[in-house]
Amino acid sequence: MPEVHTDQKYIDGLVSNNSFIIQTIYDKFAPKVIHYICQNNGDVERAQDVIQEVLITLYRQATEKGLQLSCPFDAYFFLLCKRKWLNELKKKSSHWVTIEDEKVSISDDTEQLVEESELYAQKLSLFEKAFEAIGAGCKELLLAAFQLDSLEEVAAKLGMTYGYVRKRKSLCISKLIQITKNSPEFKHLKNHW
Amino acid sequence: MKEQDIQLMDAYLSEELSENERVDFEHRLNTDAEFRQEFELYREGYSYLKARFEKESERQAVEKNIRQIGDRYFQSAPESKSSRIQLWKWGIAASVAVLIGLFFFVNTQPPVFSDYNDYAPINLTVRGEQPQLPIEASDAFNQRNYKKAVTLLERLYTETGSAEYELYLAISLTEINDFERADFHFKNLVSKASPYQNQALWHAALSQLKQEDLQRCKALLEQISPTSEEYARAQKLIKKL
Repeated sequence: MPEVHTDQKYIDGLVSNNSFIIQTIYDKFAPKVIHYICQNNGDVERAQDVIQEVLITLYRQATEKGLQLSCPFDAYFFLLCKRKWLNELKKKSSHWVTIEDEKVSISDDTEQLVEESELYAQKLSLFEKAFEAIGAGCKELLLAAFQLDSLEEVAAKLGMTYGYVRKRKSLCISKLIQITKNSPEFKHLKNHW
Repeated sequence: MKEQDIQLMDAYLSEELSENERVDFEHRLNTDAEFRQEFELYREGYSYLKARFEKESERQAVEKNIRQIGDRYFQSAPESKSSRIQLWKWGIAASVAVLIGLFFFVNTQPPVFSDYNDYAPINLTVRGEQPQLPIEASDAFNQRNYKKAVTLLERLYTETGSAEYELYLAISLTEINDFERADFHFKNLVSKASPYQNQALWHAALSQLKQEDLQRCKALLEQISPTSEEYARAQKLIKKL
C-alpha cells in the first residue's frame, strides 16, 4: 500500500465540506486548468464545468471508496481535468481540433490514481443513468431502504409487509444492475468490474 | 440471475446472514466464478446506492458548496487569473523577446465570433413524426453545412412560419455572412416576443460581433432578460467587450 500523501488534506477537506479547503483548491489549482482548457478549444465557462464535475466526483469517490492520495494533488487534479476535457472534445462534433499538449512528466502513482478515478467516474455515470430508468416505485423503495435504519421502518413507511420490502429491494437493485449491463458503455468497462 | 441468489447477495451485504450461511456464501464465491462475477456487480450497485442515499443531505450540501465557491471564484474575473499564468509562463521568453511584444497583443485580443459559434446539436423533428426535411435541415446544421441548412430552413420557415426554424435560419445566415437577411430574421424574432426572444438576442449580438460592430453587439446583449439562460454568458461577453 503506497504511503498517503500530505495533500490528502484536500480530499479530506472535500469530504468534511470544509469551505476554506474548497476555496484553496480553486485558488491554487483552478488557474492551470482554466489556462489549459482556454488554450485548447474551450473557454472559461467550460473550465468551470470541468473543475466542478471533477471535484464532485472526487468527493463521491472519497466517500464511497475511501480515496487515498498517494501523489501530489496538483498533478492528479490537473490530469483528471485535462483528460476529462479531451474526452469531451473527442465526443463533440466532427470539426477538427488542435490540441496543445504540454509534456508533463507524470509518475506511475499519479497515472494509476487518475485511471482509478476515471473508472470510478464512468461507473458512477452508468449507475446514475440506470437509476433514473428503474421506475418511480423502485426509486422510492431504494431511497427509503438506504436512508432509514431498518427494513421494518421502510415497510411501515410505505405501507408494505416486511417480506415484500425485502424481496422488492433486492429485485430493484437487480433491475439497476440489469439496466447498467444493457447499456452500450458497459461493454467498454466490462473487464473492470 | 435467480431471485433466490439476489436475495442472498443482498442479505450478505446487509450483514443479515447467520454465521453458517455466511461461510457457505463465501465458499460459493470462491468456487463459482460466474456467481462471483454477478456478485461483484451487485456489490458495486449496492455500494453506489448506499453512498448516494445514506448521507444524501450531506452530499447535497457538499455539491452545493463546491458550486457556490466555484461560482464566486469564476465571477471574480477568472480571465485575468488565467492570463496571469500565461504571462508568468511566458515571462522568461518575453523578457528575451520583449521588443516583439507580440505576446501582450495576443493576450489582450478582444473576443471574436469564432469563440462563440460552437452550437449544441439541434433536432428539429416533431415528436412522433419523421418528415425528411426537418431531419435533413438538422443534419446540415449540425454538420456545419450552413449553405445547405439555409436552403432547407428557408423552405421550412416559409411553409410553417415557425420561430424555431427562423432562429436556426438566422444563425445559419450569420454563418454564411449574409448579415442583412440574418439581422432581419433576428429582429423579427425579438419583436414577435417568441419563446426564442433571448436566444435571438444572443445570436443577433454574435452576428454584430462577427460584423465587428461591438457597440451594437453590446446593446443587444444588454437587452437579454436576467431570468433567461443566455444571461450569464451575455454578461461575461459584455465584460470582455
